Amino acid sequence: MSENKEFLSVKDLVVEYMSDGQVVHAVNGVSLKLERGKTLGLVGETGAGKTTIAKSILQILPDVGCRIAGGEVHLDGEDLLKLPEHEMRKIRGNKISMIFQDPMTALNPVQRVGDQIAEVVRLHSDDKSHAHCEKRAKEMLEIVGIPAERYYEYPHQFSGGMKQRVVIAIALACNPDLLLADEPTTALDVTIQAQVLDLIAELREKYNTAMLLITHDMGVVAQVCDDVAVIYAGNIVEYGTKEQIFDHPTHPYTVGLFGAIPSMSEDEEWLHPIDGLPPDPTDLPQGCAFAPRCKYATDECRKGPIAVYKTADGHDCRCCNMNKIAEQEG
Amino acid sequence: MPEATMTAKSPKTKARKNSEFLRVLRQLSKNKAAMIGLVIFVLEIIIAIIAPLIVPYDYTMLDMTNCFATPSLAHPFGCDDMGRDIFSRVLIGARYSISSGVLAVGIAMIFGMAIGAIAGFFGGWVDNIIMRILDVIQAIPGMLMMIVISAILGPGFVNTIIAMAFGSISGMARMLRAQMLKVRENEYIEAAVSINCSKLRIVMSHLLPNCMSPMIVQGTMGVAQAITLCAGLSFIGLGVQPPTPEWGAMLAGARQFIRQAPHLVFFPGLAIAITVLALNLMGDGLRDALDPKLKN
Repeated sequence: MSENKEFLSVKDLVVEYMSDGQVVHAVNGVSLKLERGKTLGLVGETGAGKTTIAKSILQILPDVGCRIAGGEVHLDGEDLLKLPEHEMRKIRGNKISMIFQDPMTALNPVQRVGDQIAEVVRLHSDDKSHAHCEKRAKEMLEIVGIPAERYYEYPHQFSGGMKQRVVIAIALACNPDLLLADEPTTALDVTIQAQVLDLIAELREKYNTAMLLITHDMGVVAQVCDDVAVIYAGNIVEYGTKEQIFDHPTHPYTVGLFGAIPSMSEDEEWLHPIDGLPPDPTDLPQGCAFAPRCKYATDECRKGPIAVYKTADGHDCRCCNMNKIAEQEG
Repeated sequence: MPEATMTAKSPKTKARKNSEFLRVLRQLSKNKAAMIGLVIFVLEIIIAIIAPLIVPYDYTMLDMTNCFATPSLAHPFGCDDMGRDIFSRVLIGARYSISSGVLAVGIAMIFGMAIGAIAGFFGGWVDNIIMRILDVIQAIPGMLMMIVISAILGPGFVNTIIAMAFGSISGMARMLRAQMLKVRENEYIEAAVSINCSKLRIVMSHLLPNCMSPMIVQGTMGVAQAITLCAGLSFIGLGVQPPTPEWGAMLAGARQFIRQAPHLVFFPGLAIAITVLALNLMGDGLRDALDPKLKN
C-alpha cells in the first residue's frame, strides 16, 4: 500500500541531451520519493543534473536536442511522462509549479507584476473574468508581504528580494500540490535569503505543499528539508533523512561536501575542496562516476555499475566500499 | 531596509502606472535634438493632414504667365515649368511622401515581424528554411529589387509602397529573429512555459513586447530611408507619376531646368532633407531612450 502514500515518485529517470552529435548523459537513473507536505532537498555541484530532474517532472525541457530516455514520474498515481500534452497542461502551473533561480530575469520586464500573477490564475481558474484574476493576484501579493497597491508596478521598480516574492506568489497562486524550487535563494543576499525561506516554509505549511528544493547550500538544506538526496553526475549517490545525511554522511562525495564547508569555530586559512573535477557528462566513467576523485577507490569501483546499499532504514548509499571506509574513518 | 520598503504604502503608486512608457518619454524629452526632430515630424504630419485647407493655389492649376517664376510674396517658393505653385505642391507632396514612407515601413514591419517571430520562436529547420530564403532575397541589391518590382507592378503610389515594403521585409525579419533568440533565453520565458502559457501567448505577450525597442528604432529610421527611396524611385520614373506632387517626382520633373531655375529642385529637395533629418534625430534619441543599459 506504499504506492498510495507516495505523492511523487520518480523511478529510474534517464534524461539525455544531444550536443554536437554527442550524447550528454544529464540524468542517469534517478529514483526518488516525496510525501505530501514534505520537503526533499536535491544537493549537488553545478551541472550535476538537479535542474534537469525538476524540469523533467514538469516536462518543460527544451523541445530540441533533449529527450527523456526512460523512467517514470508518478504524481498521485498518474505517470506524468505518459500523459498527453493537453492533460499535462492542466497540471503545469496548477498542481506543480516552479520557482526560478534568478528573480531578476524570471519576471517579464514589460508587464506589470500584478498582471503576471493574474496570468497564471486566468490560465487555470474556471472563473476567467478580469476582476476575479486581479482580486486573486492582489490577495497573493498581500500573502507574500507586498502591499496590493503595487500590483500596477513594473519589475524594475522592485528589489531582488521583492521580485522573488512575486515569483513565489506566481508559483503559489493556484495552490499547487508540488513546488519545484530551483535554487530560490542563490541570487539573493543572506538576510533576504532567510526571509524568503521563512516565507516559503510558512506558506507551504499553510497549504500542505510538497517541495523539491534544489540547492547547493547545505545551510539551506539544514533549515528547510526533511529528506536529502545528494546528486553526483546525474545520479543519486546518497539518500536519506536530513539527520542521517548530516550526522552520518557515508558516501565519500557527501563526506567531501561537508568537508568543504569552512568551520566557523576554528581559524582556517584554506578551504578544503574535493580534488579534481566532475566527470565529462558525454563520457562518464564505467563504474562509479566519483571513482577518479575518490581516495578510497579500488578496482571494483571502476568495473561496473555500483549497487545501492542500505546503511539504515531509509538511508541509501551508492558506494561499494562503504563499510571499509566506515572502518577506516572509525 | 527591505522591511520598510515592503510595507511602506506609496501614495504615488497610481501616478506611476504607465511608468515604462512615461520613462521613455521622459528620457526622450531630455534629448534636445530628438525633441526637435519629433516636433518637426509632428508639424509635418499636421501640415500633410490639413494641406488641402491651407494651400494658396490648386496644385494642378497651370498658369503659363508664371512659368519659372522666382519666389515672391504671391508664390513663396516660386512656380515650376508649367506655372504651378511650388509651395502648394510641396505641402500636398508631404501627404504622399510621408504616407508612402510610413505605410511601406508599416507593411514591412507587420510581415517582417510575423516571419521573424516564426523563425525565432520555432528555431530548428523552420528557422533554417526561412533564413535561407531571406538570404536569397537579401543577396539581390535592394534598389535593384525595388526597381524590378516597380517595373513588374507598374508605376503608381500603391505599387511603389508595395515594392518598398517588400525590399525591407527581410531586414525587419532578420532583426526580430535575432532579438527573439536573445530574449528567448531569459528565465521569464521558461517561467511562462512552466505556468502553462500557450505558444501563441508566449510569443504575443512575453516575447514580442520585449523585442520591440530595436524594432521601434529601426522603424523610425526606416521611414526616413523609405522616403528617400520613394523619392529615388519617382526620380527614375518608376514611382509616383506626375502630376502627383510627390517630392521625388517633383525633383525628377525639375531636373532638366536645374541650371535656369534651381528653385524648382531646391524646395522639394529641402523638404526631403528636413524630413529625413528629423526622423533620424528622433530615431537616435529613441535608441538612447529605449536602451536598457542607460536606465537609471
